[in-house]
Amino acid sequence: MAVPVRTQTGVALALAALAPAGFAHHSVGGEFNVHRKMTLTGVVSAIEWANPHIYVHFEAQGPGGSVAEWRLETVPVAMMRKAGLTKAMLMGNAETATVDIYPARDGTPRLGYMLKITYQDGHHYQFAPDD
Amino acid sequence: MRHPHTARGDRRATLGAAAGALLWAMIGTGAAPQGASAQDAAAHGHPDLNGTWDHGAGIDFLHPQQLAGGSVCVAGCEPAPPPRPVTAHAAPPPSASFPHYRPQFLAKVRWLSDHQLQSDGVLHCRSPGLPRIGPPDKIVQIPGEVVFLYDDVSGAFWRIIPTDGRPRRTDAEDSTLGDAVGHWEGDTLVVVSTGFTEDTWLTDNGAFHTRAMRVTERLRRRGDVLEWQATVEDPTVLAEPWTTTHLAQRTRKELVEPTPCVDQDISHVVDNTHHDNPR
Repeated sequence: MAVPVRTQTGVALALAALAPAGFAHHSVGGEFNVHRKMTLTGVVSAIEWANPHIYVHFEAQGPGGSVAEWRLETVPVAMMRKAGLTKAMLMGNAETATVDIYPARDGTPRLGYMLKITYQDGHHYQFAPDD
Repeated sequence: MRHPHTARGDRRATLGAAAGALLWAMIGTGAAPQGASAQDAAAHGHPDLNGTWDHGAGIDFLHPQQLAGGSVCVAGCEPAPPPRPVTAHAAPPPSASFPHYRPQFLAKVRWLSDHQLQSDGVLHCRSPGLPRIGPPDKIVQIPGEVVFLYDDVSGAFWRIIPTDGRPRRTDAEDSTLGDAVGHWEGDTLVVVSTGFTEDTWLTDNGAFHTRAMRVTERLRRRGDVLEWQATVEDPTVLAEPWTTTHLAQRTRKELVEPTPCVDQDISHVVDNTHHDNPR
């Protein structure tokens, strides 16, 4: 289960850095609630290495030991490759990780946009500006 | 809101235009990058266009940063990265513009643009078509043929372009990339394509065309830079031919396995917003 950490304002402008050109397809704010940042803790269980957006499957820990699988949209393959990141690196050796996300605006459960993933050993991959 | 980054984009375009002007000036004076002369050796009497060519693929704005401890900032990195040196794909198309439509078609362009989320096939993983697909990502040049390979966000595409004077095919079905025939004009490869479907756009924002469209591409190598120019003639709807231009930089990076394009996000967009999707 997701745990909202705070409401965020002005993020839409910061997200301008995400994708102003060819590989954007749609605006992040059109699909995700950029005013409601959430943090999940869990493990990456699968990666959909696809365009126009990569999807990370994330098994998030909830109360009482429950687990819920989220689908987290992130950048396109070309961006990931340009940054030198691979599918295996995103999987993170099944380490526990935390992800900062924006949830879907249309109410689809457990669908989000991944802004940042931080693995248990402290290394992280950032896909949007820190607030 | 179609494009929330107008001011940012304008600044980037201004900086890029300056870089582009410098590069075009270099090309104009024949000041080819060092180390390119050997690669300019004629192949079968023509310039050698073989190789992988990087035109930025629409993500020139992205400057990932490798951080301590194996961390990586893909986007939104702080502080801002230093200005990049002038390279081919740092330069925007010098002649980028929107096609000039005949007045009676402006309403259609506007409608398509206003409904881009639904009407732009690129947003649904369909072929961008020619010339929107841009310069080829890889060129394979053999006697009598040139093969263009594309690694596009919509998928992998190829074109086989005869250059030996054989007649144009009579059995080619209309397609998004058309039927191409090439010839050499001095050091320039000229590719003329016809036989298009009508389901692609010339560029973003409703720039439709008809199946009567004719596209003439001109490719010229200057050292490690490939100049690509495409001129669209579609006189039924365009008031004048429209030309778009890209520069591509030769790279030692090889194309990798094609990535599937899976349309699974547009249905979740609730307010019709989208970014432009130029190449």
